[in-house]
Amino acid sequence: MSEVFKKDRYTILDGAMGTMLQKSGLELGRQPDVLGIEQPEIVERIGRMYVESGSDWICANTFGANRKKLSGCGYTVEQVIAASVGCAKSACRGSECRVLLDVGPIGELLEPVGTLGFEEAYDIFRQEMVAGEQAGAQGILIETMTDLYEVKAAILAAKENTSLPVLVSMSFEERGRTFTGCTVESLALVAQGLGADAVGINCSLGPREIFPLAKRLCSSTTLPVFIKPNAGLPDPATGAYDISPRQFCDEMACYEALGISAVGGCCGTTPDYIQHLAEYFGQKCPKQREVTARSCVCTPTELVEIDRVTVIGERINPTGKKRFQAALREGDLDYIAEQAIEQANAGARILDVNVGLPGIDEAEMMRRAVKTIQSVTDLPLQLDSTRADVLEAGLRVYNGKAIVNSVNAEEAVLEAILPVCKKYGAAVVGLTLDEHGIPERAEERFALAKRIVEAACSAGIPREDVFIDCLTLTASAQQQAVRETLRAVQMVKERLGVKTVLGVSNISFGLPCREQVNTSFLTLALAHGLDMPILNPNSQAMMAAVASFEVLYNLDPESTRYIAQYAGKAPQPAAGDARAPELYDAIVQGLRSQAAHAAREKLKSMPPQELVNQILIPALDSVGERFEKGTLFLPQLLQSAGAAQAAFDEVKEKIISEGTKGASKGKIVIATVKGDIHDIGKNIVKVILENYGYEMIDLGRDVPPERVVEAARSNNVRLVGLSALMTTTLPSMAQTIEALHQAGLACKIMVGGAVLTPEYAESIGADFYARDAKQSVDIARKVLG
Amino acid sequence: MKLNLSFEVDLEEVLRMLGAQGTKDQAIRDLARQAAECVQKAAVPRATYQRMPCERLRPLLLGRDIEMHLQGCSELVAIACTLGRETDCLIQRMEFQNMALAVAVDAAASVGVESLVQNLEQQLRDQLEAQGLFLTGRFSPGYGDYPIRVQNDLLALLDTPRRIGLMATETHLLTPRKSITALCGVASHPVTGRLAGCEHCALREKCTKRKEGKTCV
Repeated sequence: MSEVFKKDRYTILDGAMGTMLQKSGLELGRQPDVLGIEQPEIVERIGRMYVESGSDWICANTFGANRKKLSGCGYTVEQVIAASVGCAKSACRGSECRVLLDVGPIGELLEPVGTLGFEEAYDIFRQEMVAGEQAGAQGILIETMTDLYEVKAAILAAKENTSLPVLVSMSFEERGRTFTGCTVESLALVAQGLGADAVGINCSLGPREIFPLAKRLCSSTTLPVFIKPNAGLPDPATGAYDISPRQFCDEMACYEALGISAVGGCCGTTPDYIQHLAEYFGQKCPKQREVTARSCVCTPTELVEIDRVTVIGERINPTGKKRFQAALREGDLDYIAEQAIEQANAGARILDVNVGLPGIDEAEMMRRAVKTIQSVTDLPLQLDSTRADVLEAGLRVYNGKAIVNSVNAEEAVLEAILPVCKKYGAAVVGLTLDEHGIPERAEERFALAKRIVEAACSAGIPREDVFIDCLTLTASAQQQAVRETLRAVQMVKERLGVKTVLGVSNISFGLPCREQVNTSFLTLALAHGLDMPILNPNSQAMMAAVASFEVLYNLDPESTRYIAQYAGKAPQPAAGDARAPELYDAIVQGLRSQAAHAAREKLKSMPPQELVNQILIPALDSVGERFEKGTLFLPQLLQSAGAAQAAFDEVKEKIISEGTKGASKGKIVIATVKGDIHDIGKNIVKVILENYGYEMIDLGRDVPPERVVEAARSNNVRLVGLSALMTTTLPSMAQTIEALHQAGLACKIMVGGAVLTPEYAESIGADFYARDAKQSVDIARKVLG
Repeated sequence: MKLNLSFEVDLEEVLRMLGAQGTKDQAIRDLARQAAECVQKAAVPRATYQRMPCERLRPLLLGRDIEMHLQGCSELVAIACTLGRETDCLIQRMEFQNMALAVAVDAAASVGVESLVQNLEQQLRDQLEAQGLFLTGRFSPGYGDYPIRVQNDLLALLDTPRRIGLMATETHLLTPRKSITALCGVASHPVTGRLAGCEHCALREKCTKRKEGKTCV
């Protein structure tokens, strides 16, 4: 395979296809990709014009040739792609110009905001890529993307199913983010990590507006960079672009200084524009560019550079936490989401995710946990497992550049896990141990660290993406080892020049007042060169130690962050306010933390089940009654529910710690039906029912009938709740009910949603119509008691 | 013309959506205000529009009501706007932290996007009136008998995925969720259009405004 872009001169790409097709009289609203079949002469002519104007690569007319966009056009994806690539190849005949399969966005929004699944997106792209290679395309251009998740699906589809070089480019707004919030730097990290051959920016803006973004891109990647701007900015009413070929070329000239490798045009540009570019750039040699290696991880919206103390939140880990273990066994992802949000709010910059527990499908749980956490926080994740299959499951669906925790110096471990890190472009944590265990002396741990860094580098993982964990040993058991850990951190930091990571909290195991030992050890470790402490960010003392350290080590210029965090902070009020409300009143008044506190106190003398039946439920009933009468409104009902939830968490904690039977009054499956994406109503019902002690199996939104049937069957439930907001999705509700009936399940079905009426509910075979959340409780009581 | 993308969140409307219209309860009013502030802070409003002959949109003008609405108009303006995915994310996250506030934010975002499209319509109206032309009121897919299945094609025509990041699901629901598309007729003589009214509205039975003898447009 010859190189994608030439090294000795600029590579010239092509200009717009859509603009040219419109000039040729393309009907608006008609899928332009079918023209390769219906009017191949037009498509070929446009291609030839670009070849003649000096393009080294031209795009086939396949931008929207995916099965979603082509549905109903009468041709298959393979037919359309074969025809369009054929046109482009004919256009190139007799020249050295090569053909790119052009791959644009699918046209539907991906999860979590949209409903298109990552796996389906991958499969849609796979079909395009395979068809493109078969048709004879010589490269793949993934372009005009706005969602990094879609970019990832497309790159994986290209790399795993073809041997073609892959060029990737996204469209940014002037603020330096795409519509989905993705930054230029995140694109650079992810495209490079996944093995793209070149990365670029196209569309949306003209050369002048893209310039500062291109500059950022060039300093964030060592990949060749290409730029395809629009012909200026469009008139909002007419859509006409505002700069001439000459101006376009003049504005492109300054890109030379950035060290880009290829230029072309997007909307509004024509062969004339490309000819000007070819004349100006065609004989010039691209400038070499120096890129500083930096240790960074990211999500689309958040780039974390490890250039100061970077706290990794440790709470998403079931080890020693019965409540967490129960949540994992029940598949309760809400619990994980709450842990993620809480740590993000507490100031963690990266979250560790460990879902290892005997008896569960760890790979599937990791996959679901990653998706769930990424739907509620922007923080990068550190996937924590010893199993390569679990790590791969998580890395595949992770949106951004993650960290893998961990490998160690054992040969077999390095061989199993490093290739997975390399494939998905992840950074990796290396533990300084091997098959003989953790060496006692710092020098020996340093030797293992060195071996890990070397192995990672030869696996193709850059040095700056390797983080070494010198391992904390428990002070109460191996007191003499604590200083060895600190010495090892210092040696690794100074002599290997890589970033260091350390789980801090283990140090105090078995000692009283653990937090003060942890805090002291943390400060010592930081002073020895620790970059990334793994700790509980909800511990104010630990976070304060980090903030103080950054002031003292001049990592927080002018103490800005410290002052913002702590100025005017009053000391914590003592717990146990004499006038604390009773649990019943706290719930009725919707006071969350007071309700939790009161429940905790009460549980010292009252069995959990009794507390639920005698206080929690009567309090909720009284709120519910007032809601029904209209003397109290939905927000108040929900505030009380929030308070009851806080109390209920205490109850669960107690039940689990005592190992007694749960407080469940029965299971209910609940879902927003297929095709509908409105789920706030369903979520309200869920929260309220949970407070009454029902175990809710929430299937989410856009749920196909068969998943509802499957969940109802496997959980053996007696009640299913379905929600639909739109008239257009009511048929889907009817189909779900039909499917439940056909499956012969003995469960009752309740339905709700804005446009539903009791009559309609009856007509589609529902057993109950719930006007609001309060009524769903009455129904649940009737069915489940 | 560069569009002004500002919008307001009318607290009384938010309260109405929460079923608490006209309440004097300070805590609820505070909640609505807090929700409105959250939406103003999180939203990234974007909009696009196109003026075209009605004829060009002909295949998408389905049903009697839109036909009536555009009567006497030779041209129309199609508008699409959104509060961006940031608003959806805000609501989704808020649900895990404070359900009462999440519901209020959801309501405030609906009120906000309605205000955004209202402001856009007004700007276009002013612009056209300066040219001696007249604009009808807004008519959106889903009003009366105008089916929402036109959304996908309408968005493609307006190139909204590329211009403002607005798309539709297979079932024709707009994503990001807090988004609106609408059509206004353009004529050389004063026109008001004929709005669909309550007759065909899906929410006819439950609408609190209708119970008070009011309409929503």
